Amino acid sequence: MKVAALFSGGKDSNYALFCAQHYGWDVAYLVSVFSTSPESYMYHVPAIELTRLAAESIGLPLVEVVTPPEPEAELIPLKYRLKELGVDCIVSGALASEYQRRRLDQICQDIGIKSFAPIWHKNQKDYIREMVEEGFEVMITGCYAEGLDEAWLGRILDEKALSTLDRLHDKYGISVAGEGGEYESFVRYGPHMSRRVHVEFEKEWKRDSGKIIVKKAWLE
Amino acid sequence: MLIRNATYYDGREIKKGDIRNGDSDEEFDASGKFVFPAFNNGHTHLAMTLMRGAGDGEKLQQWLDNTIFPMEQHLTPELVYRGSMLGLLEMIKTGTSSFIDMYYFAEETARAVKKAGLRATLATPITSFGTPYYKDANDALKIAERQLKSNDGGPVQFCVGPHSIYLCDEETLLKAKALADKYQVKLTTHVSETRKECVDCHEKTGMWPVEYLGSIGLLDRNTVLAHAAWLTKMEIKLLADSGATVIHCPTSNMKLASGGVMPLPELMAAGVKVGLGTDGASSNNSLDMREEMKTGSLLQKSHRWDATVANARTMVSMATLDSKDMAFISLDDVRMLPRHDLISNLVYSGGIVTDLIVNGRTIMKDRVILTFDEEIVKKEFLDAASELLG
Repeated sequence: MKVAALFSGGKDSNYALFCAQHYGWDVAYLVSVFSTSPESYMYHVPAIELTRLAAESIGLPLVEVVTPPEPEAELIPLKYRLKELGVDCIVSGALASEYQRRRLDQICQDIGIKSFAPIWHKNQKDYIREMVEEGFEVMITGCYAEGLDEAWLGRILDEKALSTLDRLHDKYGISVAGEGGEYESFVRYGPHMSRRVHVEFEKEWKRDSGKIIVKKAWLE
Repeated sequence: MLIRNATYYDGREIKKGDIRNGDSDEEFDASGKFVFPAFNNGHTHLAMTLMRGAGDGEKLQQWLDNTIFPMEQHLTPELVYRGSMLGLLEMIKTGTSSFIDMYYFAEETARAVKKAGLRATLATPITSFGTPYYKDANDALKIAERQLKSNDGGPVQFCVGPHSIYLCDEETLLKAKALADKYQVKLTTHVSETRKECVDCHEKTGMWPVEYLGSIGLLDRNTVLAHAAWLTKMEIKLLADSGATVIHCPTSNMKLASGGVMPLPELMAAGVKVGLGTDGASSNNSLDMREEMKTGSLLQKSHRWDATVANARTMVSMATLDSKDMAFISLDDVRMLPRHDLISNLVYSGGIVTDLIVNGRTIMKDRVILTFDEEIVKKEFLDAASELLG
């Protein structure tokens, strides 16, 4: 089964890709969507420029798709690009967002391919913990929820960070997997990568949210 | 044995007429019955019938640590014999005539299989550390070699069973392989059952599990790999090139939430020999290969959103891989009606197995087992299960 993996560089798309590779499927492309909207509901915006380095480390060709900011138009370039690629299916990191999954399913339906989401509705607490235990190095690249302060920017998720997220979940109800947009992430290394992506960054913090500004990045 | 008036499946199509099984002059009237190759269960731990239902619903590691390992501390040869006998009873009643097994006190399972009249390839699970049955890997290998020396070419044979790459170090794996080569027998092991196993192997060796096994010379035509639920396409090619057999264990993989699904269409397209197994009754929880065929088919179709994969004939070919025996179901069994497609009925709706012939010998006739007393086996088993639970 020839697969295009939608790839933002974040933890969910990385793990979905990892699953597809270990389903024995032929993952032929990573497809990254660069939205011109800073507030895109569909796509992962912060640190997306790092995906080129991540793709190189993973060893798969990266297909870049630029989408317009209008919510209803942003899927159109992706749909046409997927059709051109001639794949049997896409694999996405949809975890709990009905909005994201439903719209991806729809464009796949339109062009006659399948839409798989290997981590859909998995137990979020177990999933993120297993990912960390399995050697994925998940870096926080953006914080958008109460309880996540500037200190979280650039932090690599480890047991201590996960325990703190559990407590924040109990206190503020935030998703430990960041599915409600509480945080954005970038996987700088994992078992599916040959080299670690080294990231030098500065923090940009405004009132109660912020993101990292990548100054320099390279493969170690 | 001459089987007369049969409606039978020869692996390709349904035929009618007389067929032979074994050399005896005995005759068997198969009027009104559907005859198909008896099942070959490619991976199980027979005596784990004793643990059926214990710790159900726990996470894998907790289940092993809290339920299975403590119970296994108390196993005795007699308990394994009784657990094996009940497993054989279930196999006969559900049409299985042969299996590959990995469990402790394998001589006791051999004794049970000989009494029941089935075929089996049995292995002692070899690990790098001591267990209640042996003090270390070398001791386990000695036990395995003692068993191999007793092989006589009969229906019950021993093979070599290093447990897995996560419970065996490289030296143990290599010694196990040397033993299998020396005695020209199969080597069976668990592989790529969980993501943790895969990533741990990758971290330690830089290779994925099947790739690693290939790199140390453990893949060849005599290798039988159970589970293979998480495979990369590179590993599929390695399997195809090596001639190794893989055994799909869909129910166990789903019940233990391994998350991976064997890439069956890719393996078959690459020419890999694929069988079907139930795994132990502790994680299935049955040894019924009819259920396993249906479950395996449904899993593949659902996982891939593709109704064309893992069709009934594919599942029967996997479940009866290398079968030399015959099982029977009444053509009037309500679940075999109508008879548009008997193979589809066999896989998806089922039917009660009425008879089993193994190597020209009738093991079950009209649901009555001829080789042992079913009621005594059940009673002795229940006593054993109670003893094990303490």
